[in-house]
Amino acid sequence: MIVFDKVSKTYNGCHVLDNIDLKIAPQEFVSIVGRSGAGKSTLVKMLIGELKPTKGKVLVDNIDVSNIKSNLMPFYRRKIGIVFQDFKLLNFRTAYENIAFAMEVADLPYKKIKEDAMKILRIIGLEDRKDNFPAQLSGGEKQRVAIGRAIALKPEILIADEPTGNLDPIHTWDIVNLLIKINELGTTVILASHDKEVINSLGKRVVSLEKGKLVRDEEEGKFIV
Amino acid sequence: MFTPIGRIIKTGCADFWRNKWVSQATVGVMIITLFVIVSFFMLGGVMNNVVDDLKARMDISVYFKIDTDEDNILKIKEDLTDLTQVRGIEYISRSEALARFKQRHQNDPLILQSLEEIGSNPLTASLNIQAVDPTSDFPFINQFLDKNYDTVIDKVNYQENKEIIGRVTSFSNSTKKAGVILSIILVGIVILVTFNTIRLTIYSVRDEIGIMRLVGASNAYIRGPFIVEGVIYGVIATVISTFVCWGVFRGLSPRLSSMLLDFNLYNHFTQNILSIIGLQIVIGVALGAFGSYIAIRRYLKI
Repeated sequence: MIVFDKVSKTYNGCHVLDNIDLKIAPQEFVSIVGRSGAGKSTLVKMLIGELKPTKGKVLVDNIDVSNIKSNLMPFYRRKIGIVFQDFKLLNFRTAYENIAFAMEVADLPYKKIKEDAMKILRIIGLEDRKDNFPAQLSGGEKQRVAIGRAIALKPEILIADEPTGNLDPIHTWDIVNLLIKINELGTTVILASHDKEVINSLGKRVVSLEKGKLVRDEEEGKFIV
Repeated sequence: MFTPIGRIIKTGCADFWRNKWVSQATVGVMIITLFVIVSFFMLGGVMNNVVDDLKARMDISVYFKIDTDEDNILKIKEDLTDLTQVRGIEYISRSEALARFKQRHQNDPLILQSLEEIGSNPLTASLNIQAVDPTSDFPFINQFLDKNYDTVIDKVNYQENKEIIGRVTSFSNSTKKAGVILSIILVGIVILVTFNTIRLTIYSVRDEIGIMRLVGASNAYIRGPFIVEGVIYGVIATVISTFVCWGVFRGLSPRLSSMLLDFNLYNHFTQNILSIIGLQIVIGVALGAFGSYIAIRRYLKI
């Protein structure tokens, strides 16, 4: 269970998030929507411990994320898969190595890493591109690698922050379908996006943010501007 | 435990190879640093040689009374030889002194004529004494002579030589001090340049470090490959720098030998090759590994 308990974030007197109360149950698919600057990314960054709230608490399975010590943060982050708009792949590693990296940091044995990485490459449809470096992949392929890396440790939560922001419509649907599939396999998916068409076609829970405030929270919701 | 270490080493080597341009630049700067350090090491050898040479030329002469028996003088010579402070003694008999005097003044007929008029040999026998350490040993030897052989000694030129011994000692001390200070400053500068190059290397991959943190890598796991890369920089720079030094000193040695009081740079280099390689490895690896460790720190706070 993820709980945002009266969370506020202020940068130099400017309220980026204002008193957010939000609960996300395990295995849910939740879209967090809003215009650019609404506070979606800030919310996501707090969930992964990259930012601390100015007020309130972010709890994941009753653990206060902002209280996790720096040396324990890697262990927490291994339970969460993250996908970014700009992919954030390791440029000097191949597609295979990027996926394997997530498992290497968790100290899994070589054999297991090899088997799982190849399995993931098959799921994301990039088995034949495994030896390519990010610079040799298209935007859609890079994002698929990023999703592959995010699910490598079978996380309980997958956070996708504008994962389709840099993609064309065909690749966008590839990625969305992949996220739906991952959710169906039992992973909580949090999708932060401002892509109206994608959100409206999902038919899942939609949380709307506007100028840092939570303005709507609807099951089978729509992105209303 | 062993799996991550193996992975860290493998990743460090792969990153070094894949990031060739940056690796080359860093190794290049490190080679210059190590070359400068070795050059200072060699300069230290040259300075020591100059100072030792000057010290070796310093001696004091003990002149005996004209009627002193040669056996007595030779006995004193033996006594002096037993002293640990004495490095060497040369006995100059009265006839030898006369021969040397004549040789020295062979172009000065007036002096030679005066000598003939005297009729007998007016010169006294003497001992030329060289000390192990002229600064501290000559006063002791002078006291020793004064105390034990005052009755047969006519004169010891210690007081006259004292000033020059002092000057040479002071020159040698100042040279050493200046050498150390200059070395520290210049070596400090080149180390700083290398450290900044490593910082730039790490800066160029700061985003990747952030990504690793977000994916759940521990600080130690992120640092590891960079430290391995730093170690590789140090080792490769040491190998290349040693070959460069070898070539440079081999080429320069014959040309500089006469300027350096016959000091052979190339021989000094080959005689100290293990220390030189050790010095470079320690500095190169420490600089690479520690530099990377420090430089990466600020990007691990995500």
